[in-house]
Amino acid sequence: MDNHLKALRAEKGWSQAALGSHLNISRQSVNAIETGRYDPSLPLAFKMARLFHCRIEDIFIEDETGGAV
Amino acid sequence: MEPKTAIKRYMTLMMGSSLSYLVVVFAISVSHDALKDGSLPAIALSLLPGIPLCLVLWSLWRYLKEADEVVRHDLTQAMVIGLFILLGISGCWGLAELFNDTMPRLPMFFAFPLFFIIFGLVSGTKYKRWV
Repeated sequence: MDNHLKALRAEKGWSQAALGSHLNISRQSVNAIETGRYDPSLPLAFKMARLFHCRIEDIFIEDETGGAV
Repeated sequence: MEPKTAIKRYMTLMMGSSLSYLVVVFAISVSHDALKDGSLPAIALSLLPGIPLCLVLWSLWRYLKEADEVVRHDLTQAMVIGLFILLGISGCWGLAELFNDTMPRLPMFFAFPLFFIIFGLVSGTKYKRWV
């Protein structure tokens, strides 16, 4: 699943490690989510939305088929 | 728990139990002849190397619970791949042993290192991909 996490992180001026620290996940995990290699769970997606003061849909882009990748 | 703390605890326990396993196996190997009598203490001593092996499994279980969800996902996937390959090899080999007397007997002990070799290789390729 595509996402705007990298752009949102850049707006805040955070490194992957800094974002990971806010979300209590590792830098490698942030990278895996940013590159679309891993789709986060709902609790983690909500945590991201709260952190960036936006909705989950503003961070993650549903793929055209409507299903999870 | 902080991801760094979780991996540090896992590595410490894993290294500790692996080292104690080597020490116990060496000690048992040296006194191998004394353990052949089949007495209760001899059986208990021969079971001793199993304790560090159980510690290795427990440290992995604890890390699975403490790691973040991405790491847990990758570890679980690597473990499932390791388990399936192990089941495939042991199942095929076991059947061949059962139906063919000329097949060399593969000790059950090999299941443990074989699983961890496959698990380690798969985990390594996954880790390399996202660093």
